[in-house]
Amino acid sequence: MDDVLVSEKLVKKFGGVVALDGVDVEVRSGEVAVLLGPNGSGKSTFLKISAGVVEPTSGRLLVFGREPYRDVEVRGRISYMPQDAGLYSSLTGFENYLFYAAMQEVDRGRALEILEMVKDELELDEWFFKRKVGTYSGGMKRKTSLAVALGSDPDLLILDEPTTGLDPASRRVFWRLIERLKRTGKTVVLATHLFEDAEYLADSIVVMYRGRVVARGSPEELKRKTGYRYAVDVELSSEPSKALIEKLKLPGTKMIPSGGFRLTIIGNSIDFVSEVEERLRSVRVVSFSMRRLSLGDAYFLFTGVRLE
Amino acid sequence: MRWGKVKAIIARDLKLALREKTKLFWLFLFPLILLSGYTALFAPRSSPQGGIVINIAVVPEACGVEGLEELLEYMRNPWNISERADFEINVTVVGDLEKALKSLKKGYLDAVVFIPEDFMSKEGLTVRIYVLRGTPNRVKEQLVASYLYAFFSETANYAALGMLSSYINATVPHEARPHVAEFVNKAWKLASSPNIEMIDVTPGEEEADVRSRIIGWMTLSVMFMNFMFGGILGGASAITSEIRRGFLHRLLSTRLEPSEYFMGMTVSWIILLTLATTPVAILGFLVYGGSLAVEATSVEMLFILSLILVVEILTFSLGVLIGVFAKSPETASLIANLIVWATMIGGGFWIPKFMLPSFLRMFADVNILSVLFYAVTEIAVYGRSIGDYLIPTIVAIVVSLILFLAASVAYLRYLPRLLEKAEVS
Repeated sequence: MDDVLVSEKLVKKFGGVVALDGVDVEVRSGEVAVLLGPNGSGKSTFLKISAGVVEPTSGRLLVFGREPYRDVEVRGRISYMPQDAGLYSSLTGFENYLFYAAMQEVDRGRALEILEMVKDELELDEWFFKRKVGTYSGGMKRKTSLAVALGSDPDLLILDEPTTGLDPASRRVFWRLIERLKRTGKTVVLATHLFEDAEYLADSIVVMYRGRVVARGSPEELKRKTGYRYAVDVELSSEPSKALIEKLKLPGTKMIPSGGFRLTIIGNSIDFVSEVEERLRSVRVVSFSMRRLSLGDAYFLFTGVRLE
Repeated sequence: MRWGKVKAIIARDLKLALREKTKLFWLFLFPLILLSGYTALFAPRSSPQGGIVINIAVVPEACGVEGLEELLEYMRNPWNISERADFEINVTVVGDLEKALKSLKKGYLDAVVFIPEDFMSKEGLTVRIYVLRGTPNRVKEQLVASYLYAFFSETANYAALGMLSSYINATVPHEARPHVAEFVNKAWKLASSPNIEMIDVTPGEEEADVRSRIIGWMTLSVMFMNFMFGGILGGASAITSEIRRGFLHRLLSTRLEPSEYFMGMTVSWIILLTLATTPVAILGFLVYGGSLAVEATSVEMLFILSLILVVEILTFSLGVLIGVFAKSPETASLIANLIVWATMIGGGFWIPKFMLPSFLRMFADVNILSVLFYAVTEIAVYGRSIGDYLIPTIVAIVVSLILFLAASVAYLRYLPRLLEKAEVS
């Protein structure tokens, strides 16, 4: 498969602040690529360069073989949904949709055809056509914003934190739509700090931290790369003592602080679980559970910080 | 350049302007209120001064002053002055001089007349007049003093004639009386009925014409103020707020070229400013009867409309330049406000240029907006010829076009920097 998006040694500085520091990313055609990282990791800046809004300081980024920040034609194949919706609050969702479709040189007839296709999927009811955006809830705004982004039937869809702040039902609407787009051969690049989104949607994940790419691969690849497979979550009745923490440091395992009186211990072989259980006999344990290594655990191992 | 996109931008801006209540009020409604207020205050239908009322207290020294009642009656309506609607004299009798003077000092009275018991003695008429001085209305003070002096001078003349008549009646032989009576009648007539004709003359023209020209001037003044607020302040805040609110990021991720966007914004602002000022022109010239000295199809009208278009482009260009170079929307608003208010006050938009102090008149002479405003008003309202204003107007047009060019270059060139500035903030 061809690469839809390629960045090479991409650097972006805002004054003295380095937002991107030599980022190399490839996104293949028809895949959902997820940029995973906390706020300030450079995800949004990368997306803005990909959408052609901001120029890099050095390096380059190509979309369909062209630089979107210099080539207006290639921007016709891209659609960008910014984090802050960028919708006019005094216009209805429908008016916003038609306005941005016109900016993408999509004629009204075609725009209405596309809207007809996504209307039910995004649950765009009467409110979308009759009410001004200023009266919408957060979920309505996100749905409208996504409809606006889909209005030009783009080959590459760039979504910045599309599901942040949405209720579970609305998130599932987004997931279903992104899955459907993928099935029709569209490429999606989205930024998120939600592991659930990444794990469910991503074909490939680019883990970003402080303007750098610290890991990449599919969710399973990323977990495999950590060298660990299992995790044990322990909740204690009081704060674990230093002696207990030392006692739980088993060979081939690693401890992840989970906040409060909780601990997560990860290991490669399932054998460490019974050993941990044994060493906790002398303390009062509220809960004890075993699971497979999560994307969040892997993220911690790559960056040293917890996202959720 | 795709006109479909430009048309969509125009439609968007019109919808936003007509749906946002604040914008709707300031751009469309406020100028109409301002013009109505101006017209009511500075071009009322009746005489702007209103009637003059003079309040006088008469203090007789004693109760039985001879002829006091007749004197008071005549004081209230000397020379049949009450026939003039704009002049009224109130005369009251007060027994205590001190009390009357207190009222005078407080400004309740304009004058106090003290009449001594022997005010018609052989030595002549004696009266003491106290006139209130140092008030803001110096003209009225002089009028009161002159009126009272003239009134009592004439009263003295009457008294003299009366005395003379009594003397003749008592001393002249019977046969000579008809001749003497004829002489006395002539003298009395000469003193009492001077043949003075008072004719009011206004300088050069009828009051209605003056009023309609004032309204015409004020209409154009409000229209220009609207251009300044809409173009400079509105333009500056539109540029800065759409960057801050993320619209520009989304817009520029589409096929839209910055040059197309600038063109769309320029055209939509011109349409918006024209729409916002047209009701002002209709209200001022058609409803309130403002004077328009040019024909609708004349070359002068075409010239005026062209100048108005230049003003729209000029104010929008200034707004763009402020929006591009200001560090934040707040700074942009501050700079735009300073320019607009300074121009309105010092550029002869609130007060006509000829009434301004000389240093402000110099400011108005070099201010492009003032130059264009006075060219438009002098031609449109006072019927001056285009030739009288051709050179300053050409200079103003050239400067306006240079500013428009600068605004478009600055916008296109600094746009990436503006977007990045928004990122940093």
